[in-house]
Amino acid sequence: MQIHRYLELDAAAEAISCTECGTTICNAEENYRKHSAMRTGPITEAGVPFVPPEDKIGRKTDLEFREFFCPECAVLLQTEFAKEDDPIIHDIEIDLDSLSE
Amino acid sequence: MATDDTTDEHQGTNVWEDFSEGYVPRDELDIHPSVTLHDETEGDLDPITYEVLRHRLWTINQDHGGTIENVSGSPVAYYGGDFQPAILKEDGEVVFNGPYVQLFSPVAELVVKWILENRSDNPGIEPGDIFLSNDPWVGATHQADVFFAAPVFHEGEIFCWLTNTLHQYDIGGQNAGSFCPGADDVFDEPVPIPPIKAVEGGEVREDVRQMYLRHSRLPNMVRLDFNAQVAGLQVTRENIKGIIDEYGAETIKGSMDKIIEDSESKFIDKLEKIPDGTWRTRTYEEGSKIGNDELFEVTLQMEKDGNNLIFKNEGTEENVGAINLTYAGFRTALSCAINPMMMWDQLWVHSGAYRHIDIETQSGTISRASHPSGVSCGANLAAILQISLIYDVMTRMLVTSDDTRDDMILDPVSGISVLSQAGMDQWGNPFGTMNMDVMGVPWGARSTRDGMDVAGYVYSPRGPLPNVEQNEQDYPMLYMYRYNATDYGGPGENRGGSSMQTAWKPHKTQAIQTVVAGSGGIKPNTSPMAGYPGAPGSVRMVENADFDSHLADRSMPTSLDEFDSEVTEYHTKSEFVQTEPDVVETQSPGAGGYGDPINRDPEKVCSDVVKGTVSRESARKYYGVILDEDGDEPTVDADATERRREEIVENRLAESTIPAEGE
Ligand SMILES: [Zn+2]
Repeated sequence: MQIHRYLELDAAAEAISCTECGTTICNAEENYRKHSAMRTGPITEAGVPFVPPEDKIGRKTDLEFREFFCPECAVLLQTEFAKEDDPIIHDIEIDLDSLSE
Repeated sequence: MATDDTTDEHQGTNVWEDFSEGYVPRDELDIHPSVTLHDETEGDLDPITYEVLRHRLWTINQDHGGTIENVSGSPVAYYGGDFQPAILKEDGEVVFNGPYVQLFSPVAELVVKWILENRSDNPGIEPGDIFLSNDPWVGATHQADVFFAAPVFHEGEIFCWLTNTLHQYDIGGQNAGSFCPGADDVFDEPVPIPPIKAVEGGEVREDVRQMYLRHSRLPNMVRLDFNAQVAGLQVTRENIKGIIDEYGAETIKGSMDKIIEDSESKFIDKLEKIPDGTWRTRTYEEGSKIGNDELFEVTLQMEKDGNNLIFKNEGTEENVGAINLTYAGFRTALSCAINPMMMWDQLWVHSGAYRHIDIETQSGTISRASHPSGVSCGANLAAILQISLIYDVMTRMLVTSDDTRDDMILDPVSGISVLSQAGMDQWGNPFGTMNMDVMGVPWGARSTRDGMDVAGYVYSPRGPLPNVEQNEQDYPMLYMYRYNATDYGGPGENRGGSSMQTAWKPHKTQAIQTVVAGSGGIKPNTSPMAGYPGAPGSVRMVENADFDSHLADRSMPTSLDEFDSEVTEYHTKSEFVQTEPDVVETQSPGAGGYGDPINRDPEKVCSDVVKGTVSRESARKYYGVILDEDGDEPTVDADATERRREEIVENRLAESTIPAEGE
């Protein structure tokens, strides 16, 4: 079952895999982002028009831009903005029991 | 009227708790026995009669909108579509809202239910009455959105309700325009008015109308809107009575019931194709009010459990400053995502969906604010931020099913800056307005296609964008440029829509006083799906711009860089004065992309570069597309593109770590 642009959940195998290359990324109940290849950078990496926060609000922030890639084929799985110390968000959690019902 | 006997059986709600935490209707409304609701319904309508009546009711509601536009003459109504008429059942459940701003009708339901519970005894609900309300703790996104609600009686019973909401130019508070981003609390803002009877038995109550208009800096303009809102209800009430006479009350009620039942069964059909699960998102609001530069965490969790959606906001910070939304505001924000993505095949009827939505958010927070938090920026700032988060979790849910994936639209408005402008106009009269250029937003990408550039709000399909000539006619402004900006649409296999940039100066006036209320100025409030985000919007000004020499040279500036003066960028919560020679530029935020941009057809990227929607820098960096510039027009350099895309893949892995391995 497709659960994101390039992520597939195999309920029988209880695994999340990359639809581009077939690599298993993690167990179904885990956070795929934590098992992806993560690159972090300043928020200006998010797009050409982005400017440093200090130009917008007059002070530096600890916001960063995170990119998550398939650890095998490097397709872009997801991006997020977060404070440097904030945990990686677990955005998708499919209820496996409901699939077997 | 109240007697000691009836007080025992009718309590209404605890209004002071409602005024503090926000009214949440119970399953059974406590209505005074002097008011009876018409609930006889024809359960077995033939399909042809049903379709005729369904569209008749839709058309009657559309005519209601037309009456408001025509009587008010308000550019906010006409060019912004920032209003909404609705038809509700006898107990307040919404049958139809129109194709205007979707933000209003789920709150209209709260207003009507609250009136039934707390006004049915004293002052009573009678034929010809109209109630007025703008209390965000009863039912409003913010105080400037004023609700008018009218019962329609049939043979002594309330047959249905009609409501309308219209954003007012000014109803008081510390800032002209009634967005108060500098507020510490609601006492710096327009006074919230819980439902009061403004029209009694068909006669406008002058005492109430004067009390209401007395709050405003522009009582003459607000008086026109008052008349428009009353006229809309009175015209529509006659139209409803007309179809009752024609078809009979039970038949009309039967069609209303079926409209909602159909929306419910469609909603359930869609949910049944989707697995159960929980989806989560998070953003950071920049600044609690003017002058504050802290970041405030705002989160949303959506759980799908069978046929129900449950919303929680665990981790959202306490209500603070001027950035808050009440329960009513959050409840209504849901419709902005649900209607276009899930109820598009039901004429945007959302009541069936709301029967399966539970809001279990924590009170006293930015997304469920307690009194006396500042909420006057609710609709434009706090609700828009919540709508982003709602899009984020709902698109992640909809992508899981083949049946709903293509209905998904990535977050169209991942930030906003609303400008309230006031001063003296070109004729020497006071003016005040919300600048409707804010409508120049895109749509996010979809699974099957790019997002639309400068498409207008997906959740306000009838809301156009005023032409510059219309703004110049109504206000003391002279426009310099307006175009679709480069690189604002998020890179993706399907690109996000790009957004409008525009600039103007005051014209035939000394200055325009401006208040900015918005969010998502540093970064967008959402992360799109496997693509890059749209770029944040901005409000910038060049002081003492030398526009006259441009005019003398017969050249129209196309960028602030063409003026030989410093550019100031304003915070999303700010206020400033734009004097006659100053040029202000607003940039709306772009929307996010779907899929990896290195998977995008290079020819499409080339075409975007030729159109000016994507820069060569972005084509190279995000899309990995290199152009051959030798000919008249750029073409794709296929070999160089292939090499660049391989390089992007190598860099991604070389510059990354796997977080789980470090734990
Ligand atoms: Zn892969």
